[in-house]
Amino acid sequence: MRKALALVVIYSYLISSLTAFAQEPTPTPSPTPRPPPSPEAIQKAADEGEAQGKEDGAREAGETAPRDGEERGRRDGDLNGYERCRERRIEEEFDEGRRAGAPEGEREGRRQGDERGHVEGERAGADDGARKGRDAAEQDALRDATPPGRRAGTEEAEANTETPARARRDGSAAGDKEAATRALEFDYQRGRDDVNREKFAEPILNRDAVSLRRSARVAPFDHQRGRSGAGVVVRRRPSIFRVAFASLDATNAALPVNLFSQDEDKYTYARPKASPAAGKRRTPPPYPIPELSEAYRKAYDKGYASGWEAVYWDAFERAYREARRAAFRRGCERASSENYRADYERGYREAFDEARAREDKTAYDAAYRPAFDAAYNQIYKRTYSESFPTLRAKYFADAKADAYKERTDAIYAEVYEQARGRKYAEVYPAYSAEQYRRGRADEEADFRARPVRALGVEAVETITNGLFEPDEPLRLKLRLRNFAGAPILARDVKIAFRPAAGAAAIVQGREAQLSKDLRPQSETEIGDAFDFQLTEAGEGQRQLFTLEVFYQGQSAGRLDLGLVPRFIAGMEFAEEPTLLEGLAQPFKVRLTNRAQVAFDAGAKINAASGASEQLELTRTEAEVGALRPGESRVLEFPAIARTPLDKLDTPLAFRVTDSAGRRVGLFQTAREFPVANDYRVSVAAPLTSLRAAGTTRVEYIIRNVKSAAAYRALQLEARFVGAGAENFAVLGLNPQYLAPLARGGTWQFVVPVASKGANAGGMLEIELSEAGRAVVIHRIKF
Amino acid sequence: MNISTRERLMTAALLFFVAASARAGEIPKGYRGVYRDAAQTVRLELRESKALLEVNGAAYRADVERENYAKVYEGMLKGKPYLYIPQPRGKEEALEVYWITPKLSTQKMEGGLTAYRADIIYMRLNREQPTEVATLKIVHSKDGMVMLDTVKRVWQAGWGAEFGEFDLRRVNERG
Repeated sequence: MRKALALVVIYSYLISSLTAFAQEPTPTPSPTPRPPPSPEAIQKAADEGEAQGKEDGAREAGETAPRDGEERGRRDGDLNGYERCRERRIEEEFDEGRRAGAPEGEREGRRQGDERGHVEGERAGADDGARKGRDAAEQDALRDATPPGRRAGTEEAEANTETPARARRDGSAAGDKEAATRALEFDYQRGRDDVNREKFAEPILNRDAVSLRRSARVAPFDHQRGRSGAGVVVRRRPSIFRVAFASLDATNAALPVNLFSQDEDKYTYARPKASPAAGKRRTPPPYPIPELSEAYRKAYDKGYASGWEAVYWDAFERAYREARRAAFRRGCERASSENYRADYERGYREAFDEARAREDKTAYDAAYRPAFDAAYNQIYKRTYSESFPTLRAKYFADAKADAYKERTDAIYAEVYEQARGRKYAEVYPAYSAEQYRRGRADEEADFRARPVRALGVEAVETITNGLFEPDEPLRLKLRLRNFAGAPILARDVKIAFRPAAGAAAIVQGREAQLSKDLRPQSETEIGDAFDFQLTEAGEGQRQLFTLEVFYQGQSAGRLDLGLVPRFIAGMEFAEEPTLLEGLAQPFKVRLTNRAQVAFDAGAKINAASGASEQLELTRTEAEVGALRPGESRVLEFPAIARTPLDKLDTPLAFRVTDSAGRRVGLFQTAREFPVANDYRVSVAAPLTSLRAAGTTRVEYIIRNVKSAAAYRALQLEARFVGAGAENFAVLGLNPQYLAPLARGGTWQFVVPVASKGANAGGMLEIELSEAGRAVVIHRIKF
Repeated sequence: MNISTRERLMTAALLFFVAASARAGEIPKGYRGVYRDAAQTVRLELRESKALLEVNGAAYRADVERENYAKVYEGMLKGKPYLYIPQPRGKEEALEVYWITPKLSTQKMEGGLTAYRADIIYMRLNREQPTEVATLKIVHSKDGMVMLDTVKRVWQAGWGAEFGEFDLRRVNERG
């Protein structure tokens, strides 16, 4: 309809245009300016446009809305009816399935539960009954069989006569053996000891004293050199001080928007958007004037939309509702005609499984207990009655065997002990007498075979002062006894004297022969036997020796001798020594007279150092003076350290000689001594430039090591000493005065010196004083 | 205590000690005042930048030198008297006070070394002395020595075995 109207308008326009064109083939008039239309004209055009638009909009809405509503209602109704009815059918079938499945499930559950409970209860009851039946049988059998079993074993043991007979035999043999052993160990030795005692108690009819000195076949002994012609130098500690002492003596890290409600009669829907722009303008704007035409058009659009809205939705609603109702029914019928078997079976299976599981457990529990109990009772009784006899027999046998052994052992021990004691008492006196006799006989035979015995040995000093001094010639004195009633020939007796391995000793000769026969039943003192010396290597330590006497090649006695060599003069530091660089500090040596006689008044002590360049002993000799036995005296040996280090490692020795020049004391040590000046001095660079003529700036560094004297200024004096000192001169004020120096601090300054000409070097000495007291003297050789 | 309060206290303490410590060319505050020995033969008065000493019948007066070491060296080379407090070396806490009155007639120059005898008064003060000290020790030697190394441009001053050492006590006198 709208199209027709549009065509009419267009046609009318064209006709009017053509008519105007045909009527006036006049030349184009020249345009003349026209005035704008009035507001009233514009309003009028707008009113007309709105009225027309409203009319057109209402008409077109009336035509379109029913169609749209019908189409939409049909679609929605069909879909909604189908879905809703389908859901309902599914639910109905499912419920139906459940109702059918539940009773079936219950029946199956009861059946399975009952069967399983029965089987398992029976099995568990049988196992338990068998185990407990056996345990009970075992306990009862043990209790029942043990007492009679033990009784039987004991009776059998006591009836056995072989056991006592065996015990008597064994006991008797043991008693005899014990008696024999005892007699051998004790009585034999008693016999020997008694003879020995008797022999030694015999009166000594002759006493002699013999010197082996003139008759001993020995080579001359050289005390000075420590060697002998026939002796053996066992050990002599090499003296590192031989050179030092040579000058002193000749010999120190997202369905779309749900259009339907649950109730099929109630629904909602989304309104499609109305489009006034799609409206047809049936009537073209009648105004050629643009302003009026524009006003008309705008009002028309507005009127069109208004007319559309007023008509469309009601008509749409009516058509939608009707079409939807019919379509819903058709959709539902379609859904109802489909197959829902699967849902039925789903409901059936679910209900069946639930009921079965529930009834299975209940039936199982109800069946298990009675089956268990019945099986348990039956099996228990059977197991017990079958096991008991066998177990009883076993326990009876075990008890009998244990009791038999215990009783047999007891009988044996008792009879054995009786037999042993009787036999021992019976035979021991005879054994004892026999062994005692034999011991006496053997000892007497031994005395006949070896009538000479060594009674004792001692070392004899040649310098009698109560000490065995190192290098002191010593002799042995020993006593021999002749037990025979006849003389013993000298040639039949040898004496051997040996130092132990590692002993610090020199022994001249190892064997000697008697020079004179031993008179019958005599005791002979043999003096001057063997010349030997203890060396200083063993000073203060026990040295061991062995003396053995041989008669006709057989040993006639062996005696051990231990001697401790000691110097007469014992020495040690009276105070722990501390040295100072450049300043004399004494080594204080405490000397003690260890002899039992007064010290030689003419004895001297000498000191020597192995590092003469670094340690200057200003005094190396001192008179010791007389010392009573045990008396001590402290002697001082001043020493000057000549090292910039804080310790000095040097060997040191102090040797004491008597007025005859014999060494009677030695104290030697090799260790570090601290050098502990309060201040130290050093130079910043070598002084080799002093060897050439000219002036040299000697830069010195002073370090306060440990002085806490904060207000004591320092004085430094430089001088040259030694050979060539006249070649040099110190320039400027000398001594120099410097400010006090805090502990740990340093001063660095300069002292200018001059060399008068080229030279071979010299010695610069820097003496530092603190408040006038010298604290260090440092020497630099260049 | 929160951190900001602690920081404030520490800063205040630091400022206090800085105020109490010596700046270049002045006597630390804790030492200013008048001192005498027990025998009343010595009187020492220390002010911020002046010192007055009466000892053994002699009187000494000087201003504390404010110049740096190099300037003082130059002055000493010319025989100028000084009351000088060198900056301590390293971590030393003590200030050494050298009060030097040269005896120029004894000056010798030899081997790059210039030396002369001097009257020297010496004392040691704590660099930071927040409170007033009650006692003070000084040394006085009429036979001191000043040496100047003209090559390295450093100086030394000391005295010999003869010197006077005085233990002084603060007295309530005004200068």
